[in-house]
Amino acid sequence: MPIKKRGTGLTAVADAWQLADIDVTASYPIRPYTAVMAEVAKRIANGQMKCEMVHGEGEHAQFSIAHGASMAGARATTGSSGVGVTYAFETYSPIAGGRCPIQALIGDRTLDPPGDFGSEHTDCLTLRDNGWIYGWAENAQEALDNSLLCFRIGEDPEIMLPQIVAMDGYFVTHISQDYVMPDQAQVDKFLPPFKPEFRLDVNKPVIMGPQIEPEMGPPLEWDRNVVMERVKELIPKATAEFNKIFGAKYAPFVDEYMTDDADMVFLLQGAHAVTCRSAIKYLREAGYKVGMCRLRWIRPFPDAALQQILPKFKVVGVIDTNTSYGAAGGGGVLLVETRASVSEVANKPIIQGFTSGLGGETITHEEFFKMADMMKQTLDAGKIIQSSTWVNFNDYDKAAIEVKAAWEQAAPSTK
Amino acid sequence: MQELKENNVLQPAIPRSWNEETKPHKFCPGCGHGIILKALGEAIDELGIIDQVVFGCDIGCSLLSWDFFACDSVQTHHGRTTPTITGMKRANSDIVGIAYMGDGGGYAIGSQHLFNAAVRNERITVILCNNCNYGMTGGQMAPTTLPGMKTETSPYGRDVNETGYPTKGPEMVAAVAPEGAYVARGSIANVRQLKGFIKKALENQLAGSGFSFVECLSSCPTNWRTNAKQTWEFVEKDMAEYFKVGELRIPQAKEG
Repeated sequence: MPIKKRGTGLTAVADAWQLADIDVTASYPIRPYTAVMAEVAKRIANGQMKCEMVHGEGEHAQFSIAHGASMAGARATTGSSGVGVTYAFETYSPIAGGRCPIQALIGDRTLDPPGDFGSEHTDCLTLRDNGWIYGWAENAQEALDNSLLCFRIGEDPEIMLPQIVAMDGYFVTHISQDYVMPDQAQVDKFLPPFKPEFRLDVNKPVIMGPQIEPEMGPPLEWDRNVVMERVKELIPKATAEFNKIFGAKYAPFVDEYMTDDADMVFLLQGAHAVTCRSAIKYLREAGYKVGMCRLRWIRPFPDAALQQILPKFKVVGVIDTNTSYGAAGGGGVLLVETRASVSEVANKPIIQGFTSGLGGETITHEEFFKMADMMKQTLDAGKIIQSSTWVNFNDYDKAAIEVKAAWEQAAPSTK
Repeated sequence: MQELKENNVLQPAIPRSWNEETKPHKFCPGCGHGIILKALGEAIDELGIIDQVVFGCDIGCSLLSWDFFACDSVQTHHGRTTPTITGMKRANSDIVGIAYMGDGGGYAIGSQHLFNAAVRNERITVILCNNCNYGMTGGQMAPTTLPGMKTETSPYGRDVNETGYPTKGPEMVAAVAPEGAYVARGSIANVRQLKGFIKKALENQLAGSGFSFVECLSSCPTNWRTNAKQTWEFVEKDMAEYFKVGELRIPQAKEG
């Protein structure tokens, strides 16, 4: 029987790992990831889970241990946050290139500086060119579900790629919420045991990850490219099967909210979607025909889905909770990818960028209202007014201009 | 020395090298960091080198000392405080470079930095706080967790068959550092001795003799979940039994 539970995104992923019967996990403490490490250690100690757990000497070691375990045929997991994610950077391409479908849990966190503990998507987004499958979970339930879905997609014999279950640090990793832990029989039906065709085997010796001649590289890279395209085809199939077995209602690529008659949409990923939906209700009452598109995956990027969906709207406000200094358009990663996705589409909407929610700040209702106001101005003008806006820094909506003027009037000396 | 403050509170004298504005410090009650940093502060005062000191702290609880001293300070992560201070010292040999870190930074994620700085006999001082666990992240098992010790990730006690024995850092450094290095292990249970070790370590750097390293046995009642009596017993008995306090490497006196 599925069990109703109250827990965090991290306990939910520990549930998924327990249900997936992982063989090896490697850990190193860094907040907010740490809590899953403690949870798994407890479950192993209590006999609830049977798996090898290695306390690595750092993230570089953690990911390497999981890599080695996978080469030996194990279903292996690991994870990290913030600078821990980037400390392991060297390992991401070899793991994906070696077609080792390990799973990493990343509870995102601001990179240094400022090294605060806030949620920010930049740490995990820096990995986007390495060939891992990943997307952000909105809540604990989706974290659990994404973990199972990722195993299924990544371990498919036609795919064999590592995956990241990404989630907003604290908002998803640490806020207690209700979720359902599925039944073991459901999971067994959805996720077959991990039985890779090519793994280290003393009876059939193979060489993994050797130094090769330069001309031998491009075919392997082409192969990785082809496989990532194949993931785009598998995601809808696997999601449909997941929905059927678990009674879920996930959209394969883009979760739409109140988009049927919308002129304008917010486009974002992760936990801020919760506040966004709530803000949209108020905005609708105030007469804004606004909706939301939430990305379920960042790699592979849902370009084909967006080509179908976005021409319905006139203005798209892409909210980046990450930084990509010097990126085209002046915003973050999502703005670049979204614009690129629909660049050749007729009737494409006007796409503007917003940078918000940095440093673990909640994107408040007021900030969503400001963004809607600025999108409305774009809509009325019929053209871009400002390519990208850092909310609370260079807003151009009427309210923000009035507030700024009031501040300057109140404290003229700061001029 | 004690002095009567304006508000009639008896305030123990604090080292002159401390940044008074940032006191009281940010560490938990009962934490050993404050004691170690007091010993370090007094050693700096006695040598009169505060104008030369660059203080570097690492990730973990040690980073809470980023504004502890009235001197140039830097914070880095993952044990790379050691190579960062090395770079500063190589760029400007007039400074006294101090890298301050915990056992996680020095013996786990940054162990290669500590090891190689010792091998190269860098003219810097590394001071490492050993509290048997990862404190800031909530008390996980660390390289220094004692056999059988319960932590958040060893709920039934550290199993040495599964996870090995605690790292003996000064012994490791002493084994690889060339002649001229100074290596010692002190404890917050004997502050006078600890200060003496730290002072010798700094003098070793001032003399250009070689690498200097002092491990300090410290306390973490927050994560150990111990009261005052249990905390001191753990530091004085359990830790000192496994981690022997004393000097491991003293440079030979130069002839002439």
